[in-house]
Amino acid sequence: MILFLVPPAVPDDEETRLVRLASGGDREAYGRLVEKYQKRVFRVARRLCGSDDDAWDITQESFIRAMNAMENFDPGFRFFTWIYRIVTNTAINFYRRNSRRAEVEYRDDYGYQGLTVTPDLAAVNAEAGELARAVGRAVESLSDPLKSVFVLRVDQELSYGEIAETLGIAVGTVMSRLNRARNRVRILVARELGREGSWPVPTE
Amino acid sequence: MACPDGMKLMAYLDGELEVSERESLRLHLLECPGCSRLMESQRRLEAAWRDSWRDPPDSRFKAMRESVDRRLRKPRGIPGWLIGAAAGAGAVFLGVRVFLGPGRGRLEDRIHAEPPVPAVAGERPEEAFFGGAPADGPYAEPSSAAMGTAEPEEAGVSAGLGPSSPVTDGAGASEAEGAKIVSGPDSPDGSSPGLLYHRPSHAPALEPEEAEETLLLGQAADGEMGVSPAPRAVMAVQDAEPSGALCEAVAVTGTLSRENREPVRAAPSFTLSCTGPGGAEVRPWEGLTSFVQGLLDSLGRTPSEFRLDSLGYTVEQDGVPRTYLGVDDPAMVPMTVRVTAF
Repeated sequence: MILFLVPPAVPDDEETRLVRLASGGDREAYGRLVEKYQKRVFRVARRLCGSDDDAWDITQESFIRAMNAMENFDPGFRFFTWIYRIVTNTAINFYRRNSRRAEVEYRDDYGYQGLTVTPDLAAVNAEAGELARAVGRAVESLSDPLKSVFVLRVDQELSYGEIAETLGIAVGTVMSRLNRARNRVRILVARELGREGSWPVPTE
Repeated sequence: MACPDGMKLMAYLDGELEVSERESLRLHLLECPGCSRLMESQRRLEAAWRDSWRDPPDSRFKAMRESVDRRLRKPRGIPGWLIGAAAGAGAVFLGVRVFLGPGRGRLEDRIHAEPPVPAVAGERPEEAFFGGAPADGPYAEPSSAAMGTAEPEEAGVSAGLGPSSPVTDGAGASEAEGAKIVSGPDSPDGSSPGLLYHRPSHAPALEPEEAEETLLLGQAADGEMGVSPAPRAVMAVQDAEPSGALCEAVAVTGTLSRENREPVRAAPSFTLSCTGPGGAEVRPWEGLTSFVQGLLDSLGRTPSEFRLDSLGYTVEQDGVPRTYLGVDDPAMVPMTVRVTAF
């Protein structure tokens, strides 16, 4: 059985205070929150959208959206999952507005994407930089639902429970999307680094 | 201990297993080179990506904060005079509508006649394939307009966009909702052919540009411009099923870029005929053709006949049925595909 430990929402007193002040319209308190989370938010945006310029726009837009919605902030939520959710959704919307790639990604005639098995990557003997770039490109090609789960887990190292809370989906969904995202990334990386031949293929 | 499935291995990697399970998996990894190699390579791949990150300089963040602050200082909302003007214009408009009478009725008719947002088949193959994730819209969350919920796309790519969506669960479009198989480019509603999926009859027609690109896939004449590289099949053996059938996975992969085009191969040297439930003939569509072409490339041969269903396709080889996974979609109609090479 798999047990999911959702860490209890430990109230960070200082943060709770800032959030309360910011909900009341205190921009200085909000500025402190922005300072605290800006790097993480930028990093998520950058990982999701693949371009520095877009990531800055998304980061800025996310913080503005968040402030404008602060008065509706549900204190039952943790601020960081809330801000993560805003940046994830902002990035996805931004991306859809500015690109047609997502449409192509979902085209019917690519219905056979994905494997239930993971190719053996051990044969891939790339140096870390090359590997990182290949992974980055593979992540960029993921569909939005897979990409956001992958980024939140692998890059941000959120727990399954935190990802579920951030994206408003079930933990089981997090797991299956993560599994799919990882499989796809492995496939693409293996392909890009030219190690397809080392995969087991059916023999006659 | 038998090898755990990939999801469990990854849960171990993520530190999400409970203690006893973690311990038994740890012991398994000590004695199973396959699993430990997989785990190690995954760890390495993820660490390489994660550690490649470099934060931008602090000055850049400072500029961003200032910009946010400036924008937040600007008064939000619409100036009062504009609201007044808009209200006035609205009143005039309403007056005209009421005066014209019948127009109002037509407007209502039109609203009701608008089809609900369909689930686009394209979202689902991937969703469904990887093992039954509940199709709760990607970011669907009630009560969160202010939280930046992902906007529905015009073509309805997100599944489960709202109460009006007929398809919000994994079951897909049912016949009762007017679903049908679109099986060729000349389908009556002019929409692009779907692949193995029921496509709701009210699905929006695709842009001509997309339809054209679809046609080029594996179907273009020699030398025509198409997506490059062409989608191809990738296969891997998974495991032996208890039934003795060998279970494998198939994926057709290929770049999805619109920019990257080059002359494509000649049209395939085979024809396909498909038989659906009850022996009904199903016209092959080009997605199927490129899939079979992928098999040809990957295996060096094409099976002369195989059965497609929601699990994938099953083909008999040396008297042994082998199931190739790849199409895990509950909405797919089981069918027999015959391939005639020439």
